[in-house]
Amino acid sequence: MFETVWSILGMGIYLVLLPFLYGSLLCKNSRRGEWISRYVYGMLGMMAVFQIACVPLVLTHRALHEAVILWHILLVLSGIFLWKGKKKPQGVKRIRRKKWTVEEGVLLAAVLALLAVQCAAYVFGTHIDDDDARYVANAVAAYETDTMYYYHPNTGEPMDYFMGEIGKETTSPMMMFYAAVSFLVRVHPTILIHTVWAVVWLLVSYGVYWMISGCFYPENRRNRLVFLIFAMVLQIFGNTSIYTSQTFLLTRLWQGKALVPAVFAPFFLHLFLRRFGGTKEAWYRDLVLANLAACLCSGMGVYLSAVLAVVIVLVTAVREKSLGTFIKGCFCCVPNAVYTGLYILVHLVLIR
Amino acid sequence: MLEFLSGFWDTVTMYWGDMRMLLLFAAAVCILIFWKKLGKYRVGLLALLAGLLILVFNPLSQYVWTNVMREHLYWRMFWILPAVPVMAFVMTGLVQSRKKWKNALIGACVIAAIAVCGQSAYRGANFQKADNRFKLPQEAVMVADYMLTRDGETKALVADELYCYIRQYTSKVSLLYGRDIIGYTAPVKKGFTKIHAAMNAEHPDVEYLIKKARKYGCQYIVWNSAKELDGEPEDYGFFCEAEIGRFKVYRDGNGSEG
Repeated sequence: MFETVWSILGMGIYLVLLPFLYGSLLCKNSRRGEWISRYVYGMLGMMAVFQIACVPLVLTHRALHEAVILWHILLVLSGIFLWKGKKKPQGVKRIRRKKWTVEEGVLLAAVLALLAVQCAAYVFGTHIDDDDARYVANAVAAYETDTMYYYHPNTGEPMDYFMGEIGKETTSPMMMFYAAVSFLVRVHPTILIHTVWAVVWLLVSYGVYWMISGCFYPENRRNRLVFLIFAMVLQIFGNTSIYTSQTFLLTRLWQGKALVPAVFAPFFLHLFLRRFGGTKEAWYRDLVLANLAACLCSGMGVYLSAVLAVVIVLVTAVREKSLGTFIKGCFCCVPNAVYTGLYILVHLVLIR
Repeated sequence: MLEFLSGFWDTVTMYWGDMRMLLLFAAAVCILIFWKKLGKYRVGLLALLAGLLILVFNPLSQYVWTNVMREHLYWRMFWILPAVPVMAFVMTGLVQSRKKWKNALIGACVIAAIAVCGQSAYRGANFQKADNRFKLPQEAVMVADYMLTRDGETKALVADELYCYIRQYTSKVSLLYGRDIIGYTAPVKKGFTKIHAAMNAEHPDVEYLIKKARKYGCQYIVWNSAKELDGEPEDYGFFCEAEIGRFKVYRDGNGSEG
């Protein structure tokens, strides 16, 4: 009974409250302080901090609980740092809250209905994907044995080194992120991953689309809702092949690689549009944040976030006629380079 | 040169499927190029798309990615193409009439176009009703539960239909092989491929499999009940302890260690 109560409370803390709090620190003094933005920034911030904490511990064969402890320490330290940061908001316009019209109410109902359908599919349905034989099995082994990538996910045998595809996961330990949260809330990782996390990431993904709509239509709630409806319908009908980003979003969003097109690609677009619209505040910091969080997701996150970040930075630099923008933007991809280098060392069994 | 271009086109068609959605995207980009009423962000989106086209989405980039980076998954680059936001932005621009009925009509037409050009993610094959909270095949959960209840930590040689799921349920059941046997995760130990072939033979050689199971410390062998075994497991000391769904669970009566 106590464990069930703690599990529900724990999920509320780690999947709702903590992202909001951390996101509020990241969005402090900014028009980006809408509650949806805070939540999105908070989740990405937690992922970025976990990436910094976990990878060295994975490579040095430490225990899962040590990664959890270090993660919390870094969250607190970074939270204090963010709290003390005294940035003056640049180009902030106070948004006057307008009353909802009937049309907006109808559009909001449509958005919620479409969202409900997608969430219900994840909650009540199942899409069985054999890639989980590695991913989810790694999370379960970590949760049950308090280790990280020590046991072969398919067989359970202890590994002498980070074999084969496990090497990719050592520098992108998304499953350890899930295992850490499961460890804290005491819910089996497979249940949390296949049901709760899938819904959380769906909400984060559409949260990012809402943020994008805020760039396009900052004072027009009606247009923002219309944009979101079209985005949702395009996602639902995007299953034109098993390879599309829409397919991954709607069928296996818990997998790290699916988060790249569902959350990070649109988030990078949001950063690009924000800068295009004239808001330069915390741009480089947010690029680093997004890159770090994407690196947690998967090897594809490491590469694709770097490619997209470079393209965005290049286009922005050309528009602003600023070589400095391009150079600084490229420096924001240093985490990607670091993790690529570490992966190469793991792949060559120089780190084992 | 033709091969170079056709390779890229193959990737495009593989990713986009039957091309109607690609045509819808192309139509949205054309509107973006020519319809200036969409506003200032139109230029930003076009600049971004141009940047992606020059640096990422072209045959030369595919060549570099697949030959220099040695990465055969070039199609995943399409994941960073902002097709959905671009299309949604253009479509939103179409429903800006002062007359609400016009907007509703255009909006309905646009959604119909999406439905016709696309494929729903919720059609039959993608989703089924969950059997349990783990969203795993119920048989796999019950087989694993049986072993855990009987022995706690153990090791098993299981049928192909089960090996992807047991360790998603519990790490306390080790397997002789899992999905690695078909080339995923990491190379398998020498000889395991032969064991896998024997498990999947039309008439699995019971004596051989039990010998190998004991050699590698498997306490359980789980066969699909439909398999006609060549030999009786009981003759070699493995006894059927449970029938769970389509599977028969045999346990080593000689007390082999897991």
